[in-house]
Amino acid sequence: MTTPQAASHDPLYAAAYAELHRLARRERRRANAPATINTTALVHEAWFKLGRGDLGTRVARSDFLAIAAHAMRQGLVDHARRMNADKRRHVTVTLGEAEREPAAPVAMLELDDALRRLEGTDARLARIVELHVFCGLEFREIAEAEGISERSVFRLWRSARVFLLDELAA
Amino acid sequence: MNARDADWPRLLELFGRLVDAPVDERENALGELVAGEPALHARLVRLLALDASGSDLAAEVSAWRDTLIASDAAKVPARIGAWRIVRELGSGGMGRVHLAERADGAYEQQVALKLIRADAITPAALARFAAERRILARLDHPGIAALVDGGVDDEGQPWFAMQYVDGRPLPQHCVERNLDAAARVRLMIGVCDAVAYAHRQLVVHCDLKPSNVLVDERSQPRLLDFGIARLLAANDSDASVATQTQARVMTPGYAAPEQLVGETVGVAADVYALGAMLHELLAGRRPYADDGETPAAIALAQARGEPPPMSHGPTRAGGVPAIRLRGDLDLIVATALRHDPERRYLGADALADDLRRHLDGRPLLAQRDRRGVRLRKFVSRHRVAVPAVALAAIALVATAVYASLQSLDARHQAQRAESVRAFLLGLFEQADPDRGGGRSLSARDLIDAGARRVRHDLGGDPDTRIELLGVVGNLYASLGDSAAAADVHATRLAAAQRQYPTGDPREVRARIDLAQAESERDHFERARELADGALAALGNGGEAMLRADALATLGAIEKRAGRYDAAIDGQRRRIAVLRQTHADGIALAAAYDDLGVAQHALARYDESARNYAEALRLVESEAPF
Repeated sequence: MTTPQAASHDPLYAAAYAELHRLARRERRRANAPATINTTALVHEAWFKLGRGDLGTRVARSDFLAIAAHAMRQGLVDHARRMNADKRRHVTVTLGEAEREPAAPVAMLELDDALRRLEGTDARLARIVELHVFCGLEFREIAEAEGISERSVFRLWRSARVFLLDELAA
Repeated sequence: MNARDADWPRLLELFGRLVDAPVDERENALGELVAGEPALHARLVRLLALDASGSDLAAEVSAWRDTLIASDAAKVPARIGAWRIVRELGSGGMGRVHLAERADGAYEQQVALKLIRADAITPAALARFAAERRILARLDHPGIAALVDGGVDDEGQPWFAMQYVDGRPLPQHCVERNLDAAARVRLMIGVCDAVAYAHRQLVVHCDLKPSNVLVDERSQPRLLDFGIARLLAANDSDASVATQTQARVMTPGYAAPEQLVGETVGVAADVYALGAMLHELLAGRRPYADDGETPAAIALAQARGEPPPMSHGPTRAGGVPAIRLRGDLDLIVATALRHDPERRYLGADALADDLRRHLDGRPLLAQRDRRGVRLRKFVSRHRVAVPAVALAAIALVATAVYASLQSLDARHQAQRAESVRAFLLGLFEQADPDRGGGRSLSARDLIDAGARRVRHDLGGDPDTRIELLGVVGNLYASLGDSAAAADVHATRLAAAQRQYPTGDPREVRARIDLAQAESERDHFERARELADGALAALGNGGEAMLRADALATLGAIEKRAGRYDAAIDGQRRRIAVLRQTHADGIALAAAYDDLGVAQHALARYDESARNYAEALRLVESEAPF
């Protein structure tokens, strides 16, 4: 299993990121595209392409999902950081309809910090959070990837969740 | 690692063990902990409480992520081809135009880079886009923004770049520099030259209007947006041979009658639009602008005949004095605006030629037309002579509906556009002699067909159906068939009341139109009830102009019913509303005129004369000279 830190140096990380971005743009550009995109479906589609070895490397599905989840987390955190920076600089931007962006529902940067602390305490819990929260995977899918029971995944998720909520409130 | 962090592994272990444990076991464990390690106990109790409450992190982050990724993906990439996107210049129809500059620094150049809007990508839009690029590639003229570059982006979407014109739209340029008539004519000669050049390259623009012409610092006008331009078939022996328009996305007021009915469109349609542009630049208003502000009113006026001489109406702010328009310029504009394409100037060069003759003081080539221009007033209000012209009205309003779609969200917009298109196609199929059983169809037949379709079809979208019912009802009213008009407007009102809350402008408008139709067929009780209902529905809020229209209708009903005192009361209330909202002088003048008419009928001549005079004064004060 690739660790998330190592993952960001993996060429597959860049490929997964680019592929997800390409798929998202394709979805968005369809006529009558809805205002949201089923990101999880995109992750599965990207796996379908990358996992088959289209890029010359074969990769385990569980590894790919971990990489995709980490890429997603990185992207969202970077985005939240940019939004914060814009706010601090008091930039007035006139945004077209397509560019109007919703504020993050939770403090993304704090969540990222808390998640890093969780990685220090229990790497598996952190991985489950990434898969569930950032990739949108169901417990059943995580169970398959981790090779444990769905019930165990659920219990681990609850531990991870209270850890994060407690840290966010601290 | 501080003590708090150091406790986490144990806390998580305890939490995992106790969270699903039976109550007894949990209580025992917690009891032991509280005695030995009270701090740890407190944290564990808090975690167990958080488990039962607290936000659903996953759902919240997922929703945000999905929305964010969607909006991010809709963005235009920072760089396309060798170009870096600077900012959006505009968006409309199916295209989106951005200011861009060389990204590789090879040389300095700014371009207007055009893409298809993400929500408008369809096979038809792609074909249209490719056609625009091909057409631009044929054109190389100082009066036309030239094609610079083109390609396909990373996602396979086509784009092209045109010369960027750093200038002002033609009308603003004229107003800001306070140009006199001769300077405006010279600018239009430049536009005509560019259009004539395009015609020689077998390109018909099809969407000429002032906002599609930018004037740069050196006063060079440049033609933009060949988005619905047509290529005349290259093997046509004569460039004036017409070609079929497909896209019915035109601009009310500039589109020629034959263009609106979907007939073959040739250079004559561009000549008509050039005439309308001249009219707007010189008089400060479009042809037919005196007949009303709404596209429907303009359409009906256009259906009734050619416009009055441009110098006759009030000169609006930004126009040149009417006295400069009499004679040559009136004749030139009237010739370009003739309904019959064959009686217009033969091409843009012929129009430019007469404009030059006017500037030089030489006699014009255009002939004064005894039958056309002046007789408009005498054409019966209640007769639409040419079926095609009645259809023009329908098409024009449908075009306006289409234009209003811009403000709706993409999905709804596509549905409505489709409904309107289907409606129009249905009408044109009726007009096709092959389907009409061999007999020719009158305007009345076509409107009947439209009424049947709009009553039964368009099941999908009530908004469009209600709007089109209004169009058909008003067409019946313009034919003088108030019974049919009332029938259609009643259907429309019922639908509008199902669809919108009481007091919604669309519901109120339906009441007013129905009231007018009922009044026309002397059903005064019903008409009065409807007009009162419209006022009540508006309540104290509502749009002032709507309230003024309802009062105008009420006044007209009472006058027709012979209750002149009530009519006077209605007009007085209308004036009060208009005064309060600082309505323009023309609207007020109409109200004083109606008031004067009602007083006249009661032989209150002094008051009547005063109000006529006030109406006149208001009209004159609208015109600066």
